[in-house]
Amino acid sequence: YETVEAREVERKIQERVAHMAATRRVLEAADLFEVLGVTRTATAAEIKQAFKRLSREVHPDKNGADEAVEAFKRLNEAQTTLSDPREREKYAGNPCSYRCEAVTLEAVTREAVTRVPAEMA
Amino acid sequence: MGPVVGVDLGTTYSCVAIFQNGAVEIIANDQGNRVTPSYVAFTDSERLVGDAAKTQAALNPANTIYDTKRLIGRQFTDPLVQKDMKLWPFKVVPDSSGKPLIQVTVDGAKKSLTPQEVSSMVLGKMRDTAEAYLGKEVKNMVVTVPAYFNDAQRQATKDAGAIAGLNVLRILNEPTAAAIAFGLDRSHAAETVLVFDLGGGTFDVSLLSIDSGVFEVLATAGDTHLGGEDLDARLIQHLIGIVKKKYPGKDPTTSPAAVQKLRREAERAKRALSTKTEVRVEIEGLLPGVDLSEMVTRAKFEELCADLFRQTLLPVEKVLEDAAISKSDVSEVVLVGGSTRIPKVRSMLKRFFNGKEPNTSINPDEAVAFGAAVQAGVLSGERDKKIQDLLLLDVAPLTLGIETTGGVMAAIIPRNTVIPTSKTKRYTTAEDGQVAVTNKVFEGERPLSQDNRLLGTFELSGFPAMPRGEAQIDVTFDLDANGILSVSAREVTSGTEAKITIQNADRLSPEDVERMVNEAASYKDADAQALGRVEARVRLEQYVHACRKLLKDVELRNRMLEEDVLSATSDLDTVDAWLDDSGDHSAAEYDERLAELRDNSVGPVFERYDVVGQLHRARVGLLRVAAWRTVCA
Repeated sequence: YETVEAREVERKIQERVAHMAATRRVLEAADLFEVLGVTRTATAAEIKQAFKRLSREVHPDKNGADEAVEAFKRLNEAQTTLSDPREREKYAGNPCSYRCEAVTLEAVTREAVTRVPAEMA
Repeated sequence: MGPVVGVDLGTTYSCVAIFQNGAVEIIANDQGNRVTPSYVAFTDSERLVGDAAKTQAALNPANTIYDTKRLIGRQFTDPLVQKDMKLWPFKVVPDSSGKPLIQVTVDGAKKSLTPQEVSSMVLGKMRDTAEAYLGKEVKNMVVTVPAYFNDAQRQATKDAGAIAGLNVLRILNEPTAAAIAFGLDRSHAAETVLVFDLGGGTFDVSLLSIDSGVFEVLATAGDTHLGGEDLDARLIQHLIGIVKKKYPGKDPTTSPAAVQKLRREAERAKRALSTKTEVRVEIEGLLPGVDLSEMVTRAKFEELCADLFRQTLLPVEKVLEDAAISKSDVSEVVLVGGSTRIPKVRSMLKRFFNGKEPNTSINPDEAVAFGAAVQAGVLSGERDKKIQDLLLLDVAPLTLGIETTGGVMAAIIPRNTVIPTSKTKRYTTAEDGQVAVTNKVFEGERPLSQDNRLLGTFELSGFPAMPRGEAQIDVTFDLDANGILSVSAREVTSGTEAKITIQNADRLSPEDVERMVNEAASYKDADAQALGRVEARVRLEQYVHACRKLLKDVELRNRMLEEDVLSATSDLDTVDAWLDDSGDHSAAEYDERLAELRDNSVGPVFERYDVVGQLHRARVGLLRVAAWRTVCA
């Protein structure tokens, strides 16, 4: 029975290593295409397929690593962005500033501003 | 982590299940029922939950609570709450912050309960049911909610679990759970399934793609306030109208007990009309001098509810549109929830899907708990080949956004986004030297924020004063796997964590939860006391019963002196009279009487004839079973 126990421990270690490797791959990918492991010309169907396959690996319900939630969120972001033709074009045009650009397009909430009294500012 | 059970916390009924040894088992309660009414009642001596509470509802209408799922996470002023209140025999009042409280009278004193507390009692009952079956402590649960529940309703449901001392591992959407029940044993070919879930109080439609164990929700829509109870209400109104016409000047709505009787009979008639074309509703003594006997036809029922039935098709259209899927691409229309037994609902759906027969292969009352148990198995790390490939990808039902210039809602997380997810938006200051920004978070689909629901207001501060436009504040909206939102913020140029405070009138504070946890624990004491009392009473009754049985034994009677028989009988009669005569005594009083019988009066008599051993044998074993029966009856 010792070998059974040892095998169980071994299996758990392997599982953990695999979990961490999977989350690393997603979190360290250079861009969203790489997150999904698809080429820049991938079709919508290929993106969806890759998302489902990788979800099985990094979704926190399936992956016990601490980073699983963050990894899944990034995978999710990759899928959402690249599945939408307009967002995908914007992203592919300039991946580095994609996030910031999207944000500056948002209107500043002028009306919801709390002003600080002049003497304090 | 011990066993993890799946619980379908329904508006009218709840159900608990567990995944073990590769299969799901629906767990029957102490009455042998696989579903338990979501009812809580207070009598002068005890608290009743489930079947026991529902059974006595007509006798104790003002202190019998149900339908809390229609209150949970809502405001008192919510028009739907105001409307529901008219038919509830229990009292609902607003608290200081406008949330509804249910008021009951316990031991002559008024007691107020939040909907979360009442739900926690139902969850506690489901836990007890599971513990009795498993013979193990249950600490963890997956609890289902309607897919269309908003942030406050989800949070409140989670709080209900916490109040019961439970760890809610996941808030799972009901139609998604039902889809698992449907798809678990199906072949691995990809298919698109529409789940139509019309329950007791809520209505959901979800469109899913099921592909090699991955259940991906494509879109969801619904109405958190449409279900069998609304159909009952139409029937009740109809019957009230008939009574008023036949008996001018009589109004059943003035009597909570009468409304309760009407409710019971309306529900029965509605169920019968799913298999029969007409049914007679009979209530004798609805009010003093008022008997009701009325034939209701299926056609009349369908006419009374026609608009409600039609309403159910709107969410169906919406999910198809959201997911850009045509009717003909839907491979199965799966029916869940008791109200999908109604022939009209089925025929309407069939017509909508161009003659496609709805799929009735899963049990409409148990499918949600079944799916919750499977997900519980996945989350507890159960190693089983049936579930090792299973993965749920669920979505946010409502768009989350922020109010921008002119009261326009700017979407941050659009509806039907896969969860968990987080989105970051960058904000900047509008004035020189500004050191704080206030924002309002809304959920809903309307373009103007005032038409959506305010989730909370958050204030960003703690970053250094800078010229306008230079501060760059990244605000991250995080939606967890339960569909519950949290917000965090960081100023990028200075690198300071911006402080963020969210005011949300709908959420219980951790202090509130803790106070309620303690109160719930005190109920446990009271329940234990009630049980102890009943057990003591049963011990005494059993002893008397065993003595009387012995006295009927011919062999013994022939040996006994006549005066011993007479004195024993008279002592037993005295105790029986005491038992019959007054209400509840304390456990100690029962035990005192028992000791008196055993040690001073009857016991010594039997001892003289050497039959005490028989007395004991007759009693052993029956005791606990009998006590439980009494508590639950």
